Amino acid sequence: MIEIRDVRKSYKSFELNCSMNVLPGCITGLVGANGAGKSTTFKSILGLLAPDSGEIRIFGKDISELTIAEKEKLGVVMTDSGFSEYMTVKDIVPILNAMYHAFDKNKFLEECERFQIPLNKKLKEFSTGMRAKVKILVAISHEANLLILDEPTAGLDVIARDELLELLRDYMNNERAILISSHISSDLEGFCDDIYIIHGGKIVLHEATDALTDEYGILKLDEKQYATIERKHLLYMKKEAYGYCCLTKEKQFYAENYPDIVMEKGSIDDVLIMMERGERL
Amino acid sequence: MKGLLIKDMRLTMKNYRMLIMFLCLAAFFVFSSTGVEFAIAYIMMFLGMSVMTTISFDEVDHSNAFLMTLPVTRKIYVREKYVFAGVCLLIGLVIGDVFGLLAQFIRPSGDFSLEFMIGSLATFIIYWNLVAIMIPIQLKFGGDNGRLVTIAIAAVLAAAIIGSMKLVELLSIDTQGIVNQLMIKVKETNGMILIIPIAIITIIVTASTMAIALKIMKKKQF
Repeated sequence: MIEIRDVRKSYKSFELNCSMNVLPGCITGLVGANGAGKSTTFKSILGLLAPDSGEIRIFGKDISELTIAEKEKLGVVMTDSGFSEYMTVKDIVPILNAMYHAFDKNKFLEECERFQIPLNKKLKEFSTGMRAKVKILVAISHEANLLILDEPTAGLDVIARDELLELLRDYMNNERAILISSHISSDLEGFCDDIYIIHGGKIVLHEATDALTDEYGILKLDEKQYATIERKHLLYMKKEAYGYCCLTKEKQFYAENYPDIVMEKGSIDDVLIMMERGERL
Repeated sequence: MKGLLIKDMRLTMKNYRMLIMFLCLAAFFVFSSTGVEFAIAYIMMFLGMSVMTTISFDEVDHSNAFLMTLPVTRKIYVREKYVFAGVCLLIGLVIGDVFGLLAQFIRPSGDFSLEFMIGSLATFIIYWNLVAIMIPIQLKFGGDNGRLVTIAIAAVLAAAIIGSMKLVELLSIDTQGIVNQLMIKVKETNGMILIIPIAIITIIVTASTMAIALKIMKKKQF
């Protein structure tokens, strides 16, 4: 669905260098701290930024070659952009109706009612949660095959986030794909099939979500344990008050060979923290 | 393009109070002895400039970035702005002529005549050219800066005109004679002699500004 090959975009103090794939039937997550390059990646995919080099293909084509009919198959949520905030949902309906052949007006209005979204209120008067819901409802209102969602859950409370992710889960089928970004990794752990972690503009990790949670682990070691442990499977190390905290991709190896050490299940947050604050081994 | 037109129409209608105010002003002039042309010019200016307002709306909260992800292209976006401006000015032209006709019925010395219609058509063409020039400026420099650039361009044009007049004076060219001769020709042909040059200028202005606007949009990064 999306193919990104060696895309580079340079700014004064930041460089994006990214390669990734979004496959049909898969929910792919892009996780990274604020400023890691998530939005730049999304904007490059959507043709809003021109990369300095590299290739981006959507449905097998360059974004600039997509026909209007193919663009109708895209559903987009952008973190800092949407319909003018001076508009109401009632204003948006005829626009979507005119733009998308597959727009289901009745279903859209039903969903708005289900999520208690006022139709006559200006978007700028909406709460953050309401605004996020409208953006997602718009993205899924026209049978899009590919959803590109940049921080769709930003600023939402846990319940609203869960509601929206549930909505997206229901939307998925084998012919559709979702690319979603978030800086709240727990949102994506239970939602995505595939995870990319971006750090400082570079993809530093790509794993199936199951592999990330099953194979990665955090070892908590005292000075003595750290001095004697086999280090070839350790990825990152961070000094702690009690000794050392280490990230490994071979959780099983350490569980079998060092049964005495304290080990925790790996999570996206652990990987991010270790990359940000730890030392690469 | 239809979706974008609906969007711009809806955004313009958010400013309906201003439009009603201009319509009331025009209605007032229909009943007063002052020429209704004055109010018509204002209505057309308001409607013609509403395309600039829609570009500003598109820029607020980076809304234009999202618009480019919808099933539209940058080319369609630019064309839509010109179509929208044309539609708004046409509405202004129709409203103006309706008011002129009303004035004719209300006051015996009413304003509606062939001259009035030609006058409102001329206003339409002037505003069209003005709006066509302003669209790429607004797209390039945005709302506030766009206005400053427009003022700067107007100042440069005024300086060029004044400079040309001074040059003509220095060269002792009989401009009055040329103008008089031209006016005679215009009167003889009921103004028809001006149609072709005006049409050519308008086509050139429209085509060139649209091409510039498209180039600006294609280069734009969001």
